[in-house]
Amino acid sequence: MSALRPVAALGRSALHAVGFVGSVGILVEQALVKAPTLVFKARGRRLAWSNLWFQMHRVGVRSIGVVALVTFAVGAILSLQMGPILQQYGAEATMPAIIGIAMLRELGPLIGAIVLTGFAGASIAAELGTMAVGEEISALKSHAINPIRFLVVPRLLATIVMTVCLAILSDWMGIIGGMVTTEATLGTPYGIYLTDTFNAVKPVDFISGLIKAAVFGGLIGGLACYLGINVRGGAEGVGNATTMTVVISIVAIVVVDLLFTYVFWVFGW
Amino acid sequence: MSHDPSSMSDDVIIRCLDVTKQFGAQTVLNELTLDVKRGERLVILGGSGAGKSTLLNLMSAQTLPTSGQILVNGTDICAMSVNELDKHRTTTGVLFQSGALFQSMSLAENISLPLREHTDLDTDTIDLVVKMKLELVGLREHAHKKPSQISGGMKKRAGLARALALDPQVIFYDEPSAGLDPVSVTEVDHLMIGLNETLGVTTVVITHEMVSAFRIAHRLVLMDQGKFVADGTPEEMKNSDEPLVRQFINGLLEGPLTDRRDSTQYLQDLLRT
Repeated sequence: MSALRPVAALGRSALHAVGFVGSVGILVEQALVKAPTLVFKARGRRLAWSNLWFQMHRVGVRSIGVVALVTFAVGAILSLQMGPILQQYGAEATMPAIIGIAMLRELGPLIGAIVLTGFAGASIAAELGTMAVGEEISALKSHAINPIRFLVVPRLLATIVMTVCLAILSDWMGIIGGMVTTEATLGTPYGIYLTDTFNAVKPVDFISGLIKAAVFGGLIGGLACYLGINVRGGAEGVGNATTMTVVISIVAIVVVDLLFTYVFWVFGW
Repeated sequence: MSHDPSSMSDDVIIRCLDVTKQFGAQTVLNELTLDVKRGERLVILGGSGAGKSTLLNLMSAQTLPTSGQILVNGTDICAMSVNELDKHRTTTGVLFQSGALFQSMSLAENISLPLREHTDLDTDTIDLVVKMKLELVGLREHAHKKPSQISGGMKKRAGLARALALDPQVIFYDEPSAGLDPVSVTEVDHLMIGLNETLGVTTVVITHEMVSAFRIAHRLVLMDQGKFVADGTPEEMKNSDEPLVRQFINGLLEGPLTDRRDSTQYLQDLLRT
């Protein structure tokens, strides 16, 4: 009997994980299916526009400085790390292409989303968790106000839209970081660097990065909202939800990124 | 009294008929039957874990029973569509234990939210209604304060003003005295009585504060282990010979509630360690 315990524990964990993914998926599906129809609904069933603008400001605008700084630094680090190696092979002219493609396809959306996880995901989970503990979500239901429409839809849409916007900012800041550092270390003029970047990158690099960013935004918003509104157990529960949002979001973002990259590689995009 | 749903008279606003609520394997309410009369002040008494909050959540349609019927004005809420349930919820108000005010909004915004969501009133009219509701609970001068800037008693009163926003037929009060000082408790009690007498709002209160319960109630019911064990007017309850009722309302140390605790289990636990 005891020999089967690890198998049972594994099965339990697998069931729990599948149940969790399914529950988050159902919440995201309910919110996203609802979102377009809510625009045209009557009072009491309409999209909470003021809430949406507020959330977009909170999630996106307040993150601009942090995301810009981090992605500028990533571009600069790439340039510093690759410069000497590329110089050894006389391939320093490929630096703008490498950094451009890396930022647009991969690092811009990824780094932007990871910064947002800590910045917006944690704050959404903590806010909704505190609302759940303070019976505010029950109060919404008692007034016939659907918490998914009123709380989840604005936060999820805001996270998706702003992750895409921040990915564009990240792309540019990474390229600028690489450009400034390459000029300082290899002496490549800004104009040539930018021309080489634009010659190397294709629309598919930019668009595939934005598609990834939208999915990352959905993951962050969905996980934060699900874990937030399901908080039980007071302050400890809120703390757990916040931590779990950050940890699970980062793991999910990286795993989904790997899947995307593999699919794009298979199709030669 | 007959409890046939078809025989529900006009003076009964809510009828719970053989209501059972289970959470997993645990049965919290066990085939409960209760009538709430229109305009009455009903107090549901019971110790912690007796099932009072679950019953209140069921009657206010925040959750549905595992089996049985909850008839509101003759319509079973279990058979209602989502839209019908929402419509029903706009005819009831709930005062939560903590007040449950939206922390990011001022008191005025808290009260205006249900009005903005469910009515076509213009902003000026909504502002007027908000002022009237705040005046009813004595908080008009605090309209622009956030919930974090007011006391516990004021939060309860503001929560009550929000519950009244849509002029409900029934208000459910979940432990309205919890966490309040004696003066605030009296204030909230008089507010509940006043609203019931002036507006005719049916009042359902769950509490285990006996002074408050006897002050408010037209009728009291006592719950224990998911069942009703007594039902009567304050006088009838005070004069009851039922040991459980006597122990509960007098807060006695000796009685069936304490006898239920089994010392055998405790000894076994001690011996195991």
